[in-house]
Amino acid sequence: MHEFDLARSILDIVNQEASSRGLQPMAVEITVGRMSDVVPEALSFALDTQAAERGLVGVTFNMCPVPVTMLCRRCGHEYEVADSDFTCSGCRSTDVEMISGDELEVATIEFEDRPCETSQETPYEDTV
Amino acid sequence: MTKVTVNKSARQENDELAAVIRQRLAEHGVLTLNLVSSPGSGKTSLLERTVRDLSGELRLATIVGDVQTERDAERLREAGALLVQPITTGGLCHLDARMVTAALERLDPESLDILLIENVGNLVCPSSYDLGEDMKVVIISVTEGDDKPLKYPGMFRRSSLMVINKTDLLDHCDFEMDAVVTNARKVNGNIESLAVSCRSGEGLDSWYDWLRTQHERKRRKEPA
Ligand SMILES: Nc1nc2c(ncn2[C@@H]2O[C@H](COP(=O)(O)OP(=O)(O)OP(=O)(O)O)[C@@H](O)[C@H]2O)c(=O)[nH]1
Ligand SMILES: [Mg+2]
Ligand SMILES: [Zn+2]
Repeated sequence: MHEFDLARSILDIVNQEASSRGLQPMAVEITVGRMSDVVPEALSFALDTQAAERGLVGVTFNMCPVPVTMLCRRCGHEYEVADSDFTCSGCRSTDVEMISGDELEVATIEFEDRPCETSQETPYEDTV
Repeated sequence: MTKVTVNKSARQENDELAAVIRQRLAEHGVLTLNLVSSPGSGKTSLLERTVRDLSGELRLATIVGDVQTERDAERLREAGALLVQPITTGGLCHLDARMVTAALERLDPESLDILLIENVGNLVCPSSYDLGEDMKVVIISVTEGDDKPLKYPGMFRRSSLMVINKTDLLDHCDFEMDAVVTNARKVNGNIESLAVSCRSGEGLDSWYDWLRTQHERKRRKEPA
Protein backbone atom coordinates (compact mmCIF):
# COMPACT_ATOMS: atom_id res chain seq x y z
CA MET A 1 0.00 0.00 0.00
CA HIS A 2 2.89 2.38 0.68
CA GLU A 3 4.15 1.64 -2.83
CA PHE A 4 2.21 4.67 -4.07
CA ASP A 5 4.06 6.95 -1.71
CA LEU A 6 7.40 5.49 -2.65
CA ALA A 7 6.57 5.77 -6.34
CA ARG A 8 6.09 9.51 -5.86
CA SER A 9 9.52 9.83 -4.28
CA ILE A 10 11.04 7.88 -7.14
CA LEU A 11 9.31 10.05 -9.75
CA ASP A 12 10.53 13.17 -7.92
CA ILE A 13 14.11 11.88 -8.05
CA VAL A 14 13.82 11.14 -11.77
CA ASN A 15 12.41 14.61 -12.40
CA GLN A 16 15.19 16.29 -10.42
CA GLU A 17 17.87 14.39 -12.29
CA ALA A 18 16.23 15.14 -15.62
CA SER A 19 15.75 18.84 -15.08
CA SER A 20 19.27 19.37 -13.71
CA ARG A 21 20.62 17.86 -16.94
CA GLY A 22 17.98 19.20 -19.28
CA LEU A 23 17.57 15.75 -20.78
CA GLN A 24 14.59 13.54 -21.45
CA PRO A 25 14.61 10.33 -19.36
CA MET A 26 13.86 7.10 -21.23
CA ALA A 27 14.42 4.24 -18.82
CA VAL A 28 14.89 3.98 -15.07
CA GLU A 29 16.40 1.07 -13.18
CA ILE A 30 15.14 0.61 -9.63
CA THR A 31 16.84 -1.73 -7.19
CA VAL A 32 14.38 -3.43 -4.88
CA GLY A 33 15.91 -5.34 -1.99
CA ARG A 34 14.13 -8.50 -0.94
CA MET A 35 13.91 -7.04 2.58
CA SER A 36 12.71 -3.62 1.48
CA ASP A 37 9.07 -4.49 2.25
CA VAL A 38 8.19 -3.45 -1.27
CA VAL A 39 6.38 -5.66 -3.74
CA PRO A 40 8.04 -5.01 -7.13
CA GLU A 41 4.81 -5.59 -9.07
CA ALA A 42 2.91 -3.14 -6.87
CA LEU A 43 5.66 -0.54 -7.20
CA SER A 44 5.76 -1.01 -10.94
CA PHE A 45 2.01 -0.51 -11.13
CA ALA A 46 2.17 2.57 -8.91
CA LEU A 47 4.92 4.09 -11.07
CA ASP A 48 3.08 3.45 -14.31
CA THR A 49 -0.14 4.95 -13.04
CA GLN A 50 1.48 8.10 -11.60
CA ALA A 51 4.24 8.81 -14.12
CA ALA A 52 2.09 10.77 -16.55
CA GLU A 53 0.69 13.13 -13.94
CA ARG A 54 4.25 13.81 -12.75
CA GLY A 55 5.22 14.80 -16.28
CA LEU A 56 7.03 11.60 -17.19
CA VAL A 57 5.58 10.20 -20.38
CA GLY A 58 7.13 7.31 -22.26
CA VAL A 59 9.53 6.35 -19.48
CA THR A 60 10.13 2.65 -18.77
CA PHE A 61 10.68 1.54 -15.19
CA ASN A 62 12.62 -1.66 -14.64
CA MET A 63 12.67 -3.44 -11.29
CA CYS A 64 15.94 -5.13 -10.32
CA PRO A 65 15.43 -7.44 -7.34
CA VAL A 66 18.37 -7.61 -4.94
CA PRO A 67 18.91 -10.71 -2.79
CA VAL A 68 19.71 -10.42 0.89
CA THR A 69 23.48 -10.66 1.34
CA MET A 70 25.06 -10.97 4.78
CA LEU A 71 28.58 -10.69 6.12
CA CYS A 72 29.63 -12.66 9.20
CA ARG A 73 31.59 -10.55 11.65
CA ARG A 74 33.08 -13.65 13.23
CA CYS A 75 34.39 -15.65 10.27
CA GLY A 76 34.14 -13.15 7.41
CA HIS A 77 31.87 -15.40 5.35
CA GLU A 78 29.61 -13.69 2.83
CA TYR A 79 26.35 -15.45 2.03
CA GLU A 80 22.86 -15.03 0.69
CA VAL A 81 19.75 -15.52 2.78
CA ALA A 82 16.92 -17.22 0.97
CA ASP A 83 14.49 -17.77 3.86
CA SER A 84 14.33 -16.19 7.30
CA ASP A 85 17.45 -17.70 8.83
CA PHE A 86 20.07 -14.96 8.94
CA THR A 87 22.64 -16.91 10.97
CA CYS A 88 26.02 -17.42 9.28
CA SER A 89 25.86 -20.37 6.92
CA GLY A 90 29.56 -20.97 7.59
CA CYS A 91 29.92 -20.88 11.37
CA ARG A 92 26.32 -20.42 12.66
CA SER A 93 27.25 -17.12 14.33
CA THR A 94 24.44 -14.60 14.81
CA ASP A 95 26.88 -11.69 14.81
CA VAL A 96 26.19 -10.78 11.22
CA GLU A 97 25.47 -7.66 9.22
CA MET A 98 23.39 -7.07 6.13
CA ILE A 99 25.39 -5.82 3.16
CA SER A 100 22.51 -5.54 0.76
CA GLY A 101 18.87 -6.46 0.50
CA ASP A 102 16.96 -3.63 2.15
CA GLU A 103 17.56 -0.94 -0.47
CA LEU A 104 15.00 0.82 -2.57
CA GLU A 105 16.91 3.03 -4.95
CA VAL A 106 16.84 4.77 -8.26
CA ALA A 107 19.98 3.04 -9.53
CA THR A 108 20.40 4.37 -13.07
CA ILE A 109 18.59 6.58 -15.54
CA GLU A 110 19.00 6.43 -19.30
CA PHE A 111 18.55 9.76 -21.03
CA GLU A 112 17.89 10.61 -24.63
CA ASP A 113 20.91 12.46 -26.00
CA ARG A 114 18.82 15.25 -27.45
CA PRO A 115 17.83 17.85 -24.81
CA CYS A 116 14.18 17.84 -23.87
CA GLU A 117 12.17 20.84 -24.99
CA THR A 118 10.57 21.60 -21.66
CA SER A 119 13.80 21.44 -19.72
CA GLN A 120 13.60 25.06 -18.62
CA GLU A 121 10.18 24.68 -17.11
CA THR A 122 9.15 22.97 -13.94
CA PRO A 123 8.61 19.38 -14.97
CA TYR A 124 5.25 19.10 -13.25
CA GLU A 125 2.73 20.97 -11.19
CA ASP A 126 2.75 19.78 -7.64
CA THR A 127 -0.66 18.36 -6.84
CA VAL A 128 -1.01 18.01 -3.10
CA MET B 1 21.38 7.28 -25.04
CA THR B 2 23.38 8.18 -21.96
CA LYS B 3 23.14 5.99 -18.90
CA VAL B 4 23.77 7.75 -15.60
CA THR B 5 24.32 6.14 -12.22
CA VAL B 6 22.14 7.82 -9.63
CA ASN B 7 21.89 5.51 -6.58
CA LYS B 8 19.42 7.65 -4.66
CA SER B 9 17.17 6.13 -2.03
CA ALA B 10 13.42 6.52 -2.36
CA ARG B 11 13.37 6.83 1.43
CA GLN B 12 15.83 9.69 1.53
CA GLU B 13 13.27 12.35 2.35
CA ASN B 14 11.86 10.33 5.23
CA ASP B 15 15.34 9.47 6.50
CA GLU B 16 16.40 13.12 6.53
CA LEU B 17 13.36 14.12 8.56
CA ALA B 18 13.97 11.21 10.92
CA ALA B 19 17.55 12.36 11.45
CA VAL B 20 16.31 15.80 12.48
CA ILE B 21 13.87 14.27 14.99
CA ARG B 22 16.58 11.99 16.37
CA GLN B 23 19.01 14.86 16.79
CA ARG B 24 16.47 17.07 18.54
CA LEU B 25 15.39 14.39 21.00
CA ALA B 26 18.96 13.27 21.63
CA GLU B 27 19.99 16.77 22.67
CA HIS B 28 17.62 16.43 25.59
CA GLY B 29 18.33 12.78 26.34
CA VAL B 30 14.79 11.69 25.51
CA LEU B 31 14.54 7.93 24.98
CA THR B 32 12.31 7.37 21.94
CA LEU B 33 10.72 4.03 21.17
CA ASN B 34 8.72 2.98 18.13
CA LEU B 35 6.22 0.27 19.15
CA VAL B 36 5.22 -2.04 16.32
CA SER B 37 3.07 -5.18 16.13
CA SER B 38 0.24 -6.89 14.30
CA PRO B 39 -3.18 -5.36 14.97
CA GLY B 40 -4.32 -6.22 18.48
CA SER B 41 -1.10 -7.58 20.01
CA GLY B 42 -1.41 -5.11 22.85
CA LYS B 43 0.49 -1.93 22.03
CA THR B 44 -2.13 0.37 23.54
CA SER B 45 -2.61 -1.94 26.54
CA LEU B 46 1.12 -1.94 27.23
CA LEU B 47 1.24 1.84 26.98
CA GLU B 48 -1.80 2.22 29.26
CA ARG B 49 -0.14 0.08 31.94
CA THR B 50 3.19 1.79 31.52
CA VAL B 51 1.70 5.25 31.84
CA ARG B 52 -0.33 4.25 34.92
CA ASP B 53 2.62 2.57 36.64
CA LEU B 54 5.54 4.84 35.75
CA SER B 55 4.09 8.32 35.49
CA GLY B 56 5.15 9.26 39.02
CA GLU B 57 8.72 8.27 38.25
CA LEU B 58 9.43 9.16 34.64
CA ARG B 59 8.03 11.86 32.42
CA LEU B 60 6.36 9.96 29.59
CA ALA B 61 4.69 11.15 26.43
CA THR B 62 2.94 9.12 23.79
CA ILE B 63 2.16 9.55 20.13
CA VAL B 64 -0.39 7.15 18.76
CA GLY B 65 -1.05 6.36 15.15
CA ASP B 66 -4.46 5.01 14.31
CA VAL B 67 -5.82 4.31 10.88
CA GLN B 68 -9.25 5.89 11.21
CA THR B 69 -10.19 6.68 14.78
CA GLU B 70 -8.88 8.26 17.93
CA ARG B 71 -9.95 5.36 20.15
CA ASP B 72 -6.43 4.42 21.21
CA ALA B 73 -5.61 8.03 21.94
CA GLU B 74 -8.73 8.25 24.09
CA ARG B 75 -7.67 5.16 26.07
CA LEU B 76 -4.25 6.64 26.70
CA ARG B 77 -5.67 9.98 27.68
CA GLU B 78 -7.84 8.20 30.27
CA ALA B 79 -4.77 6.42 31.60
CA GLY B 80 -3.27 9.84 32.17
CA ALA B 81 -0.80 9.96 29.33
CA LEU B 82 0.71 13.16 28.13
CA LEU B 83 -0.46 12.77 24.58
CA VAL B 84 1.60 14.68 22.10
CA GLN B 85 -0.94 14.44 19.33
CA PRO B 86 -2.87 11.52 17.92
CA ILE B 87 -2.19 10.83 14.28
CA THR B 88 -4.97 9.37 12.19
CA THR B 89 -3.29 8.09 9.09
CA GLY B 90 -6.47 8.08 7.01
CA GLY B 91 -5.92 4.58 5.73
CA LEU B 92 -2.14 4.64 5.51
CA CYS B 93 -0.48 1.51 6.81
CA HIS B 94 2.34 3.09 8.82
CA LEU B 95 3.56 6.28 10.45
CA ASP B 96 6.27 8.24 8.71
CA ALA B 97 8.75 10.85 9.87
CA ARG B 98 6.70 13.69 8.41
CA MET B 99 3.71 12.78 10.62
CA VAL B 100 5.92 12.52 13.69
CA THR B 101 7.55 15.87 12.91
CA ALA B 102 4.11 17.48 12.80
CA ALA B 103 3.04 15.78 16.02
CA LEU B 104 6.18 16.96 17.78
CA GLU B 105 5.74 20.60 16.87
CA ARG B 106 4.26 21.57 20.20
CA LEU B 107 6.45 19.35 22.33
CA ASP B 108 9.15 20.62 24.61
CA PRO B 109 11.73 17.80 24.73
CA GLU B 110 13.23 19.42 27.81
CA SER B 111 10.21 18.31 29.82
CA LEU B 112 10.42 14.65 28.81
CA ASP B 113 12.21 11.43 29.69
CA ILE B 114 10.65 8.90 27.35
CA LEU B 115 8.62 9.28 24.17
CA LEU B 116 6.59 6.22 23.20
CA ILE B 117 5.25 6.06 19.67
CA GLU B 118 2.51 3.54 18.93
CA ASN B 119 2.72 2.70 15.25
CA VAL B 120 -0.14 1.41 13.11
CA GLY B 121 -0.87 -2.28 13.73
CA ASN B 122 0.92 -3.92 10.81
CA LEU B 123 4.00 -6.14 10.75
CA VAL B 124 5.19 -5.15 7.29
CA CYS B 125 5.00 -1.51 6.29
CA PRO B 126 6.10 0.30 9.48
CA SER B 127 9.39 -1.58 9.66
CA SER B 128 11.17 0.35 6.92
CA TYR B 129 10.06 3.83 7.99
CA ASP B 130 12.52 5.43 10.35
CA LEU B 131 10.69 7.77 12.75
CA GLY B 132 13.81 9.05 14.45
CA GLU B 133 13.45 6.51 17.26
CA ASP B 134 16.30 5.04 19.26
CA MET B 135 14.85 1.58 18.97
CA LYS B 136 11.92 -0.37 17.68
CA VAL B 137 10.10 -2.60 20.11
CA VAL B 138 8.07 -5.38 18.53
CA ILE B 139 5.13 -6.80 20.45
CA ILE B 140 3.84 -10.27 19.73
CA SER B 141 0.98 -11.94 21.56
CA VAL B 142 0.87 -15.65 22.30
CA THR B 143 -2.29 -16.07 20.23
CA GLU B 144 -0.41 -15.17 17.05
CA GLY B 145 1.84 -18.22 16.77
CA ASP B 146 5.52 -18.63 17.59
CA ASP B 147 6.58 -18.58 13.93
CA LYS B 148 5.76 -14.87 13.47
CA PRO B 149 9.45 -13.80 13.46
CA LEU B 150 10.15 -16.12 10.51
CA LYS B 151 7.12 -14.87 8.61
CA TYR B 152 7.89 -11.19 9.15
CA PRO B 153 11.69 -11.13 9.36
CA GLY B 154 12.02 -7.46 8.45
CA MET B 155 10.22 -6.29 11.55
CA PHE B 156 12.07 -8.61 13.92
CA ARG B 157 15.45 -7.83 12.34
CA ARG B 158 14.98 -4.13 12.87
CA SER B 159 13.67 -4.39 16.43
CA SER B 160 15.88 -4.33 19.51
CA LEU B 161 13.38 -5.88 21.89
CA MET B 162 10.57 -8.39 21.49
CA VAL B 163 7.82 -8.15 24.10
CA ILE B 164 5.75 -11.33 24.24
CA ASN B 165 2.31 -10.32 25.50
CA LYS B 166 -0.81 -12.11 26.77
CA THR B 167 1.09 -14.79 28.68
CA ASP B 168 -2.10 -15.29 30.71
CA LEU B 169 -3.44 -17.10 27.64
CA LEU B 170 -0.49 -19.48 27.21
CA ASP B 171 -2.46 -22.52 28.39
CA HIS B 172 -4.96 -22.00 25.61
CA CYS B 173 -2.48 -21.66 22.76
CA ASP B 174 0.08 -23.82 20.96
CA PHE B 175 2.70 -21.23 21.61
CA GLU B 176 6.17 -22.29 22.74
CA MET B 177 8.13 -19.57 24.49
CA ASP B 178 11.46 -21.21 23.56
CA ALA B 179 10.44 -21.52 19.93
CA VAL B 180 9.54 -17.85 19.51
CA VAL B 181 12.85 -16.76 21.06
CA THR B 182 14.82 -19.19 18.87
CA ASN B 183 12.99 -17.99 15.77
CA ALA B 184 13.54 -14.35 16.62
CA ARG B 185 17.26 -15.00 17.13
CA LYS B 186 17.57 -16.68 13.75
CA VAL B 187 16.37 -13.45 12.23
CA ASN B 188 18.17 -11.11 14.61
CA GLY B 189 20.94 -12.45 16.83
CA ASN B 190 20.91 -9.32 18.99
CA ILE B 191 17.21 -9.12 19.80
CA GLU B 192 16.33 -9.13 23.50
CA SER B 193 13.05 -10.57 24.68
CA LEU B 194 10.75 -10.48 27.66
CA ALA B 195 7.31 -11.90 28.43
CA VAL B 196 4.41 -9.98 29.96
CA SER B 197 0.71 -10.03 30.50
CA CYS B 198 -0.93 -6.65 30.32
CA ARG B 199 -4.00 -8.27 31.83
CA SER B 200 -2.49 -9.88 34.95
CA GLY B 201 0.52 -7.60 35.18
CA GLU B 202 2.92 -10.56 35.17
CA GLY B 203 6.35 -9.66 33.82
CA LEU B 204 5.67 -5.94 33.56
CA ASP B 205 8.40 -5.24 36.11
CA SER B 206 11.03 -6.54 33.73
CA TRP B 207 9.66 -4.25 31.00
CA TYR B 208 9.84 -1.29 33.37
CA ASP B 209 13.39 -2.20 34.34
CA TRP B 210 14.34 -2.40 30.69
CA LEU B 211 12.84 1.06 30.14
CA ARG B 212 14.71 2.49 33.14
CA THR B 213 18.00 1.02 31.93
CA GLN B 214 17.57 2.32 28.39
CA HIS B 215 16.54 5.73 29.61
CA GLU B 216 19.53 5.95 31.90
CA ARG B 217 21.84 5.02 29.01
CA LYS B 218 20.25 7.58 26.80
CA ARG B 219 20.53 10.27 29.45
CA ARG B 220 24.21 9.53 29.86
CA LYS B 221 24.54 9.42 26.08
CA GLU B 222 25.89 5.88 26.12
CA PRO B 223 25.37 3.73 23.06
CA ALA B 224 22.56 1.21 23.53
N1 LIG C 1 -5.91 -11.81 27.71
C1 LIG C 1 -5.20 -10.71 27.42
N2 LIG C 1 -5.71 -9.78 26.61
C2 LIG C 1 -4.97 -8.70 26.33
C3 LIG C 1 -3.69 -8.50 26.89
N3 LIG C 1 -3.18 -7.34 26.40
C4 LIG C 1 -4.12 -6.82 25.60
N4 LIG C 1 -5.21 -7.63 25.56
C5 LIG C 1 -6.45 -7.43 24.79
O1 LIG C 1 -6.14 -7.50 23.40
C6 LIG C 1 -6.97 -6.59 22.67
C7 LIG C 1 -6.12 -5.68 21.80
O2 LIG C 1 -5.28 -4.89 22.64
P1 LIG C 1 -4.75 -3.44 22.22
O3 LIG C 1 -3.93 -2.96 23.33
O4 LIG C 1 -5.89 -2.61 21.76
O5 LIG C 1 -3.85 -3.85 20.98
P2 LIG C 1 -3.11 -2.88 19.94
O6 LIG C 1 -1.85 -3.55 19.55
O7 LIG C 1 -3.01 -1.51 20.48
O8 LIG C 1 -4.13 -2.91 18.72
P3 LIG C 1 -4.17 -1.95 17.42
O9 LIG C 1 -3.84 -0.57 17.86
O10 LIG C 1 -5.56 -2.10 16.89
O11 LIG C 1 -3.14 -2.53 16.49
C8 LIG C 1 -7.80 -5.85 23.71
O12 LIG C 1 -9.05 -6.43 23.78
C9 LIG C 1 -7.01 -6.03 24.98
O13 LIG C 1 -7.82 -6.00 26.13
C10 LIG C 1 -3.18 -9.51 27.78
O14 LIG C 1 -2.07 -9.45 28.30
N5 LIG C 1 -3.98 -10.59 27.99
MG1 LIG D 1 -3.59 0.30 19.65
ZN1 LIG E 1 30.52 -16.99 10.28
